[in-house]
Amino acid sequence: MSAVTAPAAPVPARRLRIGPAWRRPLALVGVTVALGWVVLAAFAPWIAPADPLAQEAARFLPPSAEHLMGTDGLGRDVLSRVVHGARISIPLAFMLVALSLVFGAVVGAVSGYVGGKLDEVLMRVVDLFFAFPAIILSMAVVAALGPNLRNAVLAIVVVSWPVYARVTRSLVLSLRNSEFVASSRLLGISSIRALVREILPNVAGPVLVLATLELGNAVLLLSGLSFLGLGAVPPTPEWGAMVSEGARTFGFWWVGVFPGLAILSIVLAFNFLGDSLRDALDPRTARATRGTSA
Amino acid sequence: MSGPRRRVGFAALCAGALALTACGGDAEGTGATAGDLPETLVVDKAFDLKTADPGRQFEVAGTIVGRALYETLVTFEDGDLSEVAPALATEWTVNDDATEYTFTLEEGVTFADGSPLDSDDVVFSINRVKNLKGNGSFLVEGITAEADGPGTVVLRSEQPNPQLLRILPRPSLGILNADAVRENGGTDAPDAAETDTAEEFLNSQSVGTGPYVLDQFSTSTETVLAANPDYRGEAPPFQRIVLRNVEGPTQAMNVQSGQSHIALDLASEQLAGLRGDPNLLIDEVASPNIWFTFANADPAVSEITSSPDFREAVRYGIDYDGLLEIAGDGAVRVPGIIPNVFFGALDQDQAPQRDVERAKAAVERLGGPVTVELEYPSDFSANGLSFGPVAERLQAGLAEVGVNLELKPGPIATTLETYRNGQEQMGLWLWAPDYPDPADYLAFGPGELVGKRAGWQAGAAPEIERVMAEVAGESDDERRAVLFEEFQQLMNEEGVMFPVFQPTAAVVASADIGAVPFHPAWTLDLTAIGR
Repeated sequence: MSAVTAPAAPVPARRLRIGPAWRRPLALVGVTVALGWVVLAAFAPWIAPADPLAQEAARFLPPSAEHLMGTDGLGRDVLSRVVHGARISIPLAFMLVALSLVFGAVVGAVSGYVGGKLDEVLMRVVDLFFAFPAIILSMAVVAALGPNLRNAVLAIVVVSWPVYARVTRSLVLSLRNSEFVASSRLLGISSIRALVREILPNVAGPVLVLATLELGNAVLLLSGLSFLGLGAVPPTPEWGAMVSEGARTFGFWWVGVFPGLAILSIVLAFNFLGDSLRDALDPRTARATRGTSA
Repeated sequence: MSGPRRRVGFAALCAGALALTACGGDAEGTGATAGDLPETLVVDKAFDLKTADPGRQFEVAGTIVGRALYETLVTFEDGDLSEVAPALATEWTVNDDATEYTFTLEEGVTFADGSPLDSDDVVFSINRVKNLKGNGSFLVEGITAEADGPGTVVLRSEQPNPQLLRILPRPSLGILNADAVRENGGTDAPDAAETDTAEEFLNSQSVGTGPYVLDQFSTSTETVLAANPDYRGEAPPFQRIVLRNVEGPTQAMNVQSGQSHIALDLASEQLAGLRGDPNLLIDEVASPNIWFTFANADPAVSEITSSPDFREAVRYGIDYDGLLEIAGDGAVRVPGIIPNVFFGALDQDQAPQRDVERAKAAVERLGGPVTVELEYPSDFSANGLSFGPVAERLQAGLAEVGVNLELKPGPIATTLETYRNGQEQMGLWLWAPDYPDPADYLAFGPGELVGKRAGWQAGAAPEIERVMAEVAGESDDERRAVLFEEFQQLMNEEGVMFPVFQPTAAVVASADIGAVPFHPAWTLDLTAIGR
């Protein structure tokens, strides 16, 4: 509680204090695992022992030296499919978060800065989206558009932008009337310029933290939709779809467990990363969580 | 350990050869005698149960229940579909063009409530099914039932109907006590579809002559049958039969732990975990369901799939052996459109064989590799087999010859609609027989039900249609068998349908009730268990 004495007022964005790595072991784990997956995704064709689509081996071979994670119901190498799965989940997670962030932040910033009627309307629209559980709403969107990976991404963007809108709006609201914004306006800077030059840099930190935390969520939602048969179309090696096959063929644990572990590790990594980033960039919430855990 | 394994193997072997009567003896020999039977038989089935009214049911669970409650005019004995046996009718005659069937009813038959059965009950039951216009009404479409005295019934058909004798054993056509049904809102009048209100009554009690009566009915939890003490045949071996609504994975646990006696919906992966259990007898045979894919013949749907060269590429490009591997241990290749349990089925060696060079040559004639859509239901499975893996294997095999499939899975509610509207470029579906006669498979011809779903209109293949017309009017089974074979050979040359396999159908039974064979027409014959 006492170590970090951050002022309650907005902190200028550039005053970051990232301590030595050993003080943040979880951050180190998160960064390592996430980077590891990014490397795997980038070099998948060279790392994976086999073609993820080739149905060459016998079905349901247990893990062995030849197939480290066994083979699935169609005789495909599970390890190769897990490695290639990273090429789908990770880039799509980043894309999803970027899209939702941009859309949500713009709506939130405008809403908070302009205020009044527009704010009311936009925030009720946001409430509307919050009223439904994310997975149910995204299922409805995919069902309406037709099940494939592109529509799943769209559906997840539709359900995840409101979070960014909310957070951005509240930050903009609190900054709008602060002295440095007021003084910059007194100097004759236009509204838009004030928003972009003065307010947004101060908003960026917390929103980026949120985005990192949401990365894990995005992976989960995407694989969740694929698990339900609403995302990746076969034979795409998508983790959620692979877990779904594993759930159907329960006697052969390796079919579902390895892609499940892949999802678990990347989601945890993104969450560790997000937590640590929050500690560094957003001391207010960091202090609050530390206070409760101490 | 080797003892039980051998027994299971033997059961499967017997069943595979469809020598089911021979298996019955073996089951008794290996321990289960009538004296050891439990009082209550517990059967696990994933319910598709809708009603206990024979005239309204057409589902698997309804058929299983109906078979135990009601008897039909004629029946199949011991799972042998090649010949019909007497049931309520002791003998029958058929006129030369198969338009008039005369049945002599067994004398002294009484319903479970003690009232006697006569020709009025039969006429009422059959006309009611027709006029209810339900899912099973097409079975007796164009058939009129008339009484000729109390002991004789005449069925007249507008068209020659040589398959009628094999249609009649279907439990949808069970004979009801007409007076009891009439008293409770039932009618066989032409407007029965609107005016018949007997379903609720028939869900509360049964009014048949079968060995069991309905005790408790639920479409969601469990349905209970009790022994009919006045049954005229051999006394039913169980006091009660409980049919429970349980999903496949739970069925496996139940039957293994002894909480149920029979499991019906196990996938091959679940069966793998049960093999070798000395307390279980597993019967694995090829199901009479056929899985098939088709290439839409309508150029408006696809210029590619409607080309004869494309058909050739698919026919010789499909990796039939690879697909069979997915379909389970008891699965077999279906050589024509008619599955192996019916007469008129082709021999295995008449099935199209994979010929990669020939398929590639056909793709060359199409102007190089092509890409088409393959639709299938992603949330539906039968015999524990889902469509996804089959579609993926199909895709992998065809990709090798230059036919690229873009998979389009969807919920069955939507894919079934595009399929029925004839809008799918290619589709992967299954056909469960409506009745065990090859005439049921004429639906795959041009201008017929399934043919039209593949955009194959009447007039598209005159040679095939000539054979279809000829066989429809033929009443001699030997001649019909020859014509059905010719029909399938022509379909295998120029048809738009590509029959793939018959998957494994399995019945797992606990050893204390003896081996329970899969029934090719009714899935499970409750009246045959424990005998």
